[in-house]
Amino acid sequence: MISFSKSLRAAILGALAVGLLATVTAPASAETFQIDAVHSAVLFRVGHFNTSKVWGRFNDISGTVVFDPASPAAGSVKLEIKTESVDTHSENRDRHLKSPDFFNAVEFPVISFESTKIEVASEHKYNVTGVLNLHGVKKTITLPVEHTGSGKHPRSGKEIVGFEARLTVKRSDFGMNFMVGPVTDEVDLIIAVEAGVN
Amino acid sequence: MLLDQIVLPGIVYPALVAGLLAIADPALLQGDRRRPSRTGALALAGGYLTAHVGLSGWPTLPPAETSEWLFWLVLGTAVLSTLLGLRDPDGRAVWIAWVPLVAVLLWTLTRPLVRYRWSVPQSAAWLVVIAISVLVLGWTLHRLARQAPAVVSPVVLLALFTTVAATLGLGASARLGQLAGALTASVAAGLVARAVLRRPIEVPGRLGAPVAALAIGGLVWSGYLYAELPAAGVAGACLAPAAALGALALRPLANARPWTRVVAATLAATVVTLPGAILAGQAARAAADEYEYGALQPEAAGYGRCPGQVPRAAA
Repeated sequence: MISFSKSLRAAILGALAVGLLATVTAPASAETFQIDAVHSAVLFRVGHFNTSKVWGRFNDISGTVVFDPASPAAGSVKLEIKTESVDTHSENRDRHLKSPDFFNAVEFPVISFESTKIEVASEHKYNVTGVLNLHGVKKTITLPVEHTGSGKHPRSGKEIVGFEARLTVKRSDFGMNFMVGPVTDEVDLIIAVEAGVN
Repeated sequence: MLLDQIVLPGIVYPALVAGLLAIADPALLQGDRRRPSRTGALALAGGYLTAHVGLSGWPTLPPAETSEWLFWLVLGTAVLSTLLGLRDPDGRAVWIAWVPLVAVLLWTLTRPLVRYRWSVPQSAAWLVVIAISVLVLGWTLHRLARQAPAVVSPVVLLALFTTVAATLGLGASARLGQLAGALTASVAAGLVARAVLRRPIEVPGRLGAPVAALAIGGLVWSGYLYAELPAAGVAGACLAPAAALGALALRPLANARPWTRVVAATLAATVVTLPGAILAGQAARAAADEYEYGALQPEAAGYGRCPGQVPRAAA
């Protein structure tokens, strides 16, 4: 009984040690990670009537991240957002946002970003340049991305990584000119992504 | 906001451009009081394009959005109509050249839906329905311009464009509504120019009928396919000229006074377009309580008032 208890304790300690090591150890080589929509978010905020900042989000996000901490420049990012999933906590405002006044969600059902170049800015920080396809307009932009962490999922044991980018875009650059002024042209974006190996 | 965002780009500038183009006919300027003006197509298109640029900026090339395709199609139709109208003032040749432009309109209107949403049979069915509606609209507008020139046709169109602008603005998209409103402003500018200068100025006239059909057809179908314009709004807009023609064909009106004919034709067109406007208005009213103004109580917040908000006590 005692020996069983000892071996059980050893096994638990061993597993914990391995788990702990795994959570602090970054993936050793370039891996392809699938974006986990549940633990990811694309948030936006705009100024409203020169008074407040109104927030919204997109709920349907997918894509892949190819990442190797030893060679980040060799990585890549593909992100797809379903325009229809825009959510501002007001059903009627969401309907208006999906109309041709703003996102025109039926005509442009997907917002996408595909990287073309990744540069290291500083430790855990990268400048990811790529093509943003929004509202039918493709423009090259650079996302300042922070690598927020890597580790292993505690249940599946699969490798996961996290990134966050904050930037401001002008919606008029993408042909979304409706009510520029009362609703600001500048849109602040936060893209927070958790992705895991399948 | 009202002046900068709506009145100037959507009404005043389009009316000025349309009015100037309407009187820019060389024959009119030389004092020919009999021949109808031939710049009606350019005037209507000029007003529409001015509104598009003022409200949405210059369209990209190649066009990205359906409304941008509509910009170039309206411009192309106006130029074609005016050039062909130099040899064929009746405007019949224009219609042959117009059909391929309608085909492009169909493609631009349905392209994303065919790609992402519709099955092949659905696509075929919708293409037939949209094509028929735009062709019926074009044919009846042309008949109206021929049978009831001078004031009847522009006044009917004034009523049609106004109702469509309200329906689109309430039920689909403010931007589409503003573009339809620019058509109203253009026709109104033509009527004012006619009254002031006492010249046979017609906006849109026979040559402008294809422009009007393409613009209004494109706008209402965009509102239905890409926003939430009620089907009654599309049907009303496409059938309004036919209703006006039907009213004018009634025996008691055949020899009636001109203004009686104007009123009867306008009423008939308006009756057909009203159900769509009412449905759109009801939907907008139901939505207003939650979205934007209804939920906000600036009196309580104490930091200003939303534009257009009526204080609750006064409402």
